[in-house]
Amino acid sequence: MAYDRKHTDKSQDLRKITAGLTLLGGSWASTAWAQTAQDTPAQAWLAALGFSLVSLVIAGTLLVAARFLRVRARQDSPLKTRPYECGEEPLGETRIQFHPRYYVVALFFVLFDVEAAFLFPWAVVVKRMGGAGLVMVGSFLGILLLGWLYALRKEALRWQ
Amino acid sequence: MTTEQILFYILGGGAVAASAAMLLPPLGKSPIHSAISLIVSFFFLAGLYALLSAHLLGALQIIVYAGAVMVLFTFVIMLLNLRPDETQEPRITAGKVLAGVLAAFVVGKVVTVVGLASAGAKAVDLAQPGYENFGSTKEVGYMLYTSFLVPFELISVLLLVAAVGAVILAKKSLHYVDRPEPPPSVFDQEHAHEHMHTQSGTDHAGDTHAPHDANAHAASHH
Amino acid sequence: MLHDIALLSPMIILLFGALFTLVVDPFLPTATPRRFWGPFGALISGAAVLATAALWVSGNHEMQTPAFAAHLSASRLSLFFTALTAVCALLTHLSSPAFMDEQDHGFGEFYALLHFAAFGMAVMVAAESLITLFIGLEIMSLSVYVLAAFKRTSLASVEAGLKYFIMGSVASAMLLYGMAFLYGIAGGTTYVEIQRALVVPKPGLDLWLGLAVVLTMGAFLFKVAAVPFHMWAPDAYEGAPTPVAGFMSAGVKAAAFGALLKVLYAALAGGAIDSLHLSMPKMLATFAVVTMTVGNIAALRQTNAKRILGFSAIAHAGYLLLGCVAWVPDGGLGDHYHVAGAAVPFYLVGYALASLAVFAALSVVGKGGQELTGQAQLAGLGRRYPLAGAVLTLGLLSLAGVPPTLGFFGKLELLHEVLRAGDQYVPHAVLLVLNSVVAAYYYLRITVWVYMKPEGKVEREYIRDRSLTWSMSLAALAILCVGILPSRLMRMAAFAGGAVRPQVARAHLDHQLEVAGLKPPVVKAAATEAVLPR
Repeated sequence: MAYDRKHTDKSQDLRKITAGLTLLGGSWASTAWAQTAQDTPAQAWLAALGFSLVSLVIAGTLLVAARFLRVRARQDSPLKTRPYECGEEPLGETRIQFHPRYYVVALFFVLFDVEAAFLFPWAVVVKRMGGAGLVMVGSFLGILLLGWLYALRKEALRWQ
Repeated sequence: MTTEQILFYILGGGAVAASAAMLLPPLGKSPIHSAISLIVSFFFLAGLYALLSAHLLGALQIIVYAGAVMVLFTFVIMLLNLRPDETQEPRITAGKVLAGVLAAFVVGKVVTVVGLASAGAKAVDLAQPGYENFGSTKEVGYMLYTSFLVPFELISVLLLVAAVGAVILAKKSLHYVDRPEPPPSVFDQEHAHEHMHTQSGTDHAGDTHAPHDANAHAASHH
Repeated sequence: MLHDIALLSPMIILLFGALFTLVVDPFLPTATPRRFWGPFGALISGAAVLATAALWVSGNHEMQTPAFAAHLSASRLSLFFTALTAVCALLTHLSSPAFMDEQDHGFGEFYALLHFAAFGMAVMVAAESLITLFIGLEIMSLSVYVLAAFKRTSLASVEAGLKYFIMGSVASAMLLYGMAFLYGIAGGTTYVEIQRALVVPKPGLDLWLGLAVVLTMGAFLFKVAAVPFHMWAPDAYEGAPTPVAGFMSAGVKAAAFGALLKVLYAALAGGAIDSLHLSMPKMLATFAVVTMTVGNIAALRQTNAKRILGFSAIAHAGYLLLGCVAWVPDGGLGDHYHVAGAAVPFYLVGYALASLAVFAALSVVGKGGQELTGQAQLAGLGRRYPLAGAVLTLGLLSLAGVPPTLGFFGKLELLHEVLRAGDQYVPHAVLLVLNSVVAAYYYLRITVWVYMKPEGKVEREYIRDRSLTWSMSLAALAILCVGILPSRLMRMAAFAGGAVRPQVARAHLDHQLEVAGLKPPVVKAAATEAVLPR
């Protein structure tokens, strides 16, 4: 059952455009305001607080906007019971089981994410550490690269 | 109350509330909702770290935990993919009651200890000399590559073992590419069937697949 | 720096073995059988043992560079346990290839993981700070979880790995929680710093300390499979591939007790601990007695040899825990053999060798991808494969503590030390003896299955392999030879035990500070200064 005006409420384009513009303007204003914050702790905290508030406002606005602007199926329409009320045709079942291979990829993501986390602190002291630091990080990365070499050769990351 | 205290109570309260929402209905009934509550809790914790001047830790908490680890959690939830009717209604058993009592005891103990022992504690003034860079990324980096060099290098071995272990446990077969496919293991039997069907078409085209894949599928068609 | 690296040579050798195996194996031709990695691994582990021996003889055991000193040591205790875990790895490397090939899982990764586990154990027992201890523990645990689940086509093996993994993760979390409190108390993570913070009791300290100690000790109880955290052990031992089960019961236990000794007597020592409300020694001694009793009584009803050995491992954890508690910290280190602190290291050697011998002998029944270690299936082993039967019996006798095996002297020394520790441990010692008597029953029962049960009509085949024979023979020889002449090993154990006494550690700390001309709070900053200019 494809998207069909007959089954859905008519969307109101003007309202959509207004909401979009409000959001854009709001995010621009909040960013500009956050940038004015200075370095003293109190002001930094204030900026952080303001930033979180603006994020909350944006997220809230989006949710509220979606509540009003979404394309809804009429109560009596057969679309009402489908996964997507907007009329999108679902392919297959909604409940599919993910293949374990996603899990391997995710695991490697976590591992190399942690690895990267250990490299941030090096990045800020790279000058002071000099050659010795390079050797330390080199051996750290070298050992991990052996694992990557192993995984590559074993085709662990190949989408079987 | 100072600003710090107010922030502490907001962040701490938020973390506790999000953790509670993880387990209790209505959010706690669905695994995905629990996972999202966990993310919220991670964010509050990151705020607490920032409050303690551990900015790097706060950022890493979000990058690694709320980012990477949660991806892993989500994949596991989707891998298991329990239907609502498959999840059992929680039943109260003697073991659970005992566990609850023990847990309550431990929590009570922790709360009392923290309450009693922190009464006389005095705050460290980070404004005093010697603490200017406390918790900064620079300071952490410097410590990591000097006094904590040994654990740092050992971490790489730990990560390597984790990667190798993941490959061994999750990979379909540890045999090499040019070896014929062994019979599917207990884990693969469910998927082997579906695998065969979805890929049989491309196998005959014979492009991207490793030789053993093509062989195995060709063999299964005869 | 170079000197430090020389002191780390056993670890570096093990890590080299792991990385070499891991990287070279995937590039070998497919048709090459992988079983040569077993003897290769044994050579590597043997080299690590030799390096440890050389360090032991050479005598200078302190790390010089601050970056190392705070985190790793090559004290006699570290060296003793490093050698012990390397020996466990050696024997496991020898007993694995034939078995894993029969199970159709003889991959190169298996041997790489054995090396990684041995490396993690070496780090654990050499650790001088909580962070290093935790990382070593995790390296070891992750490797052993995967090794336990290595036979992925067997549901039992996967279940063993999963159970071990989940329980182990809980233990790790507890350990971290406890460590966090200890760090909060001491303001530092090294054992020396913690000990310094605990020298004198301070108001309010004992509350924090009680929490930290309970959590940390709980985690160790998990790792050594002591009551009330023992339930994973029988399932894990039964499901894991037999040589891996041997490695788990010998190597993991040795490493865990080595680390526990250090934490108990190098970090958690001092006036503040003694004044704890909930007396830690009394609590641990109670757990020890309960552990040995539960393990032994549960083992009586089992009909599978591997499961029996799983429960027996719990019981032995109880004996060893009692030994740890009854350690006499202020005993003198003289010429006399019966020196305080010798019992636990000494007992562990006997236990590890006996375990490895028993599991190596049990792995001969793994023909054709099966693991038939049940009562009826073991019948006739003694007649059809005399060597395996004999080694199995010898190992079981040593576990039971029958003279003249090493196990007998281990029990004797342990009993001696428990009684020396004070009158409050007399009931514990009596229970230890009673438990040993009970344990003898089920050990001898396995021997009865092997030698005296009527054989079935099926003609069973056994794995007959040269490296497995080597493994069995080496373990059996060690049990017998050291059992007949235990004095040398006991002296070494006494040296190892002496190295951990708080006085020694504290004196060493004072000495270090004097040399550096520093006061305690500044030592960290100075340490960083020495490596790199600010």
